[in-house]
Amino acid sequence: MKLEPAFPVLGLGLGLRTPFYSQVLAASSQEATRDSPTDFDPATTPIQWFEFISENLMGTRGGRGGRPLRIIETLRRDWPFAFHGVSLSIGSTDPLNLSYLHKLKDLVHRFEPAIVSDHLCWTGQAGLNLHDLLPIPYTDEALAHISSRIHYVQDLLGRRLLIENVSSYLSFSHSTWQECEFLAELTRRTDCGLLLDINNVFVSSVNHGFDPREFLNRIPLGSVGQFHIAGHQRLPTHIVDTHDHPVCEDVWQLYGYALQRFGPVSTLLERDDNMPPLSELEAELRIAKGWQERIIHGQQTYNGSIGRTKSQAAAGFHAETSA
Amino acid sequence: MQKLLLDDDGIQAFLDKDPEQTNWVGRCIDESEILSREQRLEIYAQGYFLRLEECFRADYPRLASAVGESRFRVLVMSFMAQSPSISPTLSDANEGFEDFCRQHPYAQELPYIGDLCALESAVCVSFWADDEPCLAAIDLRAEDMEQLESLRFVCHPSLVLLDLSWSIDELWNTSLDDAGGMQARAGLSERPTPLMLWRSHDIVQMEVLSPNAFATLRALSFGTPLGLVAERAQAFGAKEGEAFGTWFATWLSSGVFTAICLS
Repeated sequence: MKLEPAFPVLGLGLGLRTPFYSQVLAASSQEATRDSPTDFDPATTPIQWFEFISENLMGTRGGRGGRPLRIIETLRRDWPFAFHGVSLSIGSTDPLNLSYLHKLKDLVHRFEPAIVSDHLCWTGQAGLNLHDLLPIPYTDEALAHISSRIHYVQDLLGRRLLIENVSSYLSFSHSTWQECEFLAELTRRTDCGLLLDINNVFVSSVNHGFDPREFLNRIPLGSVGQFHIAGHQRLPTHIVDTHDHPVCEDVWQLYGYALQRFGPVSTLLERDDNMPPLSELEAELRIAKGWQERIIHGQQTYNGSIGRTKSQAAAGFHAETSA
Repeated sequence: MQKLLLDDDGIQAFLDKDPEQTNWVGRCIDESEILSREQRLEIYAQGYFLRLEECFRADYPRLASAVGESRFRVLVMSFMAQSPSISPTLSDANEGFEDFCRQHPYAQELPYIGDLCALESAVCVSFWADDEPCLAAIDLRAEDMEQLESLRFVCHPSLVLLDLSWSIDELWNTSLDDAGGMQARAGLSERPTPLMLWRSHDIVQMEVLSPNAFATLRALSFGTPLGLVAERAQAFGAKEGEAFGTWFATWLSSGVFTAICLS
């Protein structure tokens, strides 16, 4: 089937999580009459769109989707939004979960999100769900298997999927592709797009010892429909993708590099734990905005020196990637 | 690999008892100078239990506080080992947790943990329940009032009725920071505790009901006509019969009902 050619550029977004529901709703046009104080100001916020976790809209134990549906019903009047899944398990050897997929299809058709995405991973086998984004072997067999599943999902949904690179802590010795090449080939075979998680590229580059910029260099131009940025936790031996810290300087630098390579791409800040006030997340998005203005609108060439001297940036990158 | 990650004894213990898996790990997983194969798997194994423990801790803060941090971890890990999630939705991972708590050896020392788990599960259900507009007294039309006795009420999806055996309501207002206070309530009394929970302005409210008020609201929630419910309330005694009007008005103004229909 023919899928729409380009990806929408939505600007800067936030993964909307439970603690912020009330604040954002209170400021929305529909609910503004309610007596709910909020510091969230749609007129001044850098947030231009929201991302919802798809599974949170599917209801529990056969329910209809619950309160989050009311929230999305209200917000969609004023805000573009995306659905981001965590349980598609596109890399599993289990058959695709058709009940899950039909729920997703119903949601997508009902709400028409600007973007629908999930991860290049498996989440369980034999009917179980570990609620983790587990790594796959990058082999020809996996490529054929996953490509056919992406085709199936895209045909069912009637639209392009964005597939996200995950943070990983192990690799398989029988892999014959590098992750970036595997992703690139997936886009060629299936016409899916990529949700390039800049933090995940950085985390995996440290955990496996590769050059994150080289990873980005091998991703085809025009294949990236969205960026994710997030924070992580650095341990002595590795980095854990925790989404519980602000975006670190090294990830900002890599984001700048990605902006220069891929141009304007919808960018979303993820925060899932150790939640700060919404204003702090808005401040982080203003930093992202600063990068966009400097790199894209200012047409500034990235030289690794924004925010610090070139040698400091180079030293930082070297230290991170060789850790 | 999944078997390895789900074993609650840890990766190394699992590999020690299964040479076949050890061979698989040696053949298939890369290692580096910084991290061995086993350490890399351990990151995922620990992540699995930590993630679920965190989710359970968020949903069951009073249970965690009452049993204590380390015992809560054991409770969650043993539950997940016995009942791993089969749902794409993380919120479903607690299905069966209440029964598990009731039957767990900890319940011999803290017999109220099953009820506490039931209450916190109900809070989640109420918080995430579908949204429907609430019925207000003003919504009752003149013709409804004429047929008041025949009216059936549809309860708001966030209404949960719980008939507990322990005075769990005493824990509801205890500060979560007061772990000592939580644990000191091991001596909660065993008494019938009928509760109603409902969501109002995005906050779950809880109220202890008298047994008769509980039975009345439950009958309304089953769709019993108002006249019949009122009649039964009269049968509870003159005092309860008079109270019926007050109960009903309170529930109506609290947003417990979402619609009416005629018999």
